[in-house]
Amino acid sequence: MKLVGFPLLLMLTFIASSAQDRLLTRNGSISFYSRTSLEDIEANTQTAVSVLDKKTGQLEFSVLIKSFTFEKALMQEHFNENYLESDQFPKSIFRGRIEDLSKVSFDKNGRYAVSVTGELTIHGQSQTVTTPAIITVLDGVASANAEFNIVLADYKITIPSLVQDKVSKTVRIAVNLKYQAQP
Amino acid sequence: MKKWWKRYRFFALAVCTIAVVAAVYGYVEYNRGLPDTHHLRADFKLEASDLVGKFEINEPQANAVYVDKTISVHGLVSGIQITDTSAAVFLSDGSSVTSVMCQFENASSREIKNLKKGTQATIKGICSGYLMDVVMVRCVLDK
Repeated sequence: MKLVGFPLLLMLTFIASSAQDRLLTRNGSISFYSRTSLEDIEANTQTAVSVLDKKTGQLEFSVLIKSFTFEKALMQEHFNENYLESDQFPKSIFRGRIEDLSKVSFDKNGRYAVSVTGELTIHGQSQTVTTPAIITVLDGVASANAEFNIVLADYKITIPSLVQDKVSKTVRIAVNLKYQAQP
Repeated sequence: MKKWWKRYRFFALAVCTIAVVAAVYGYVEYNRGLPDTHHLRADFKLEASDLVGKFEINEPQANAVYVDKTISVHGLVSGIQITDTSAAVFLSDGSSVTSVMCQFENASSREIKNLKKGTQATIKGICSGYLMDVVMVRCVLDK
């Protein structure tokens, strides 16, 4: 199982659903922001993988921690080495579902406000997350957008006392997934 | 005071010089941006199928060898996906579902416009690991 990793896991998870019910993106966008009076920290990646099952509302995304890019090289080094320990915990994963899937019509253009609940794993720690999200359908292309805050201590991410004033204890995460229909 | 200054002036000047150099170094280092991949020398040069194979056979070992390294990958352009802010180019051997996903930060660059699906390309980027594909970020065309 270790050798095959995420692709097989993703396939097994969705094996019960038919191919046309699954929407996939391999270049989803995830950003995070930490704002303090001293300094803003921001990073993003455009390489998140996500699958959304239109029939069951099951939604998963996975992202490589080392794919996040920062404006400053030193911040990126500290992020990977001191905070997220990305050699030890290389991936972050969300597994959940759209709670009110009946609100969404994937065949009709529109913006649908929904609620998503699931388990978010960062730094090897899992927490339940519930967040409002927007599903947008435009000419057959579905997108999912959500923004939510996480508390770093919940994921056992410790901030060294020397830079405590520069790093906020909560971080805002923005997820933007534009799906492609599966053949 | 004059006596003190005469005796210790070299020491005082040296301390001041070191402090200024340290402050300038700290400031420059703190604000250092990520290097342009064009200027990075490739640590490895591989075919896309070979790189994918390494991760499929033993992901932890491949992570240890290739992640954070600058890699020049050659392969068939099996797909190009452009978003509002970036572009993803997929390199494979043409037969495998898994490919090397190369993320370009500037979707409107000439490099992306010149790439065509079905042609061969060599792309240089920083390896981030393996999800559905081997992921490379901050990619550029490697000539």
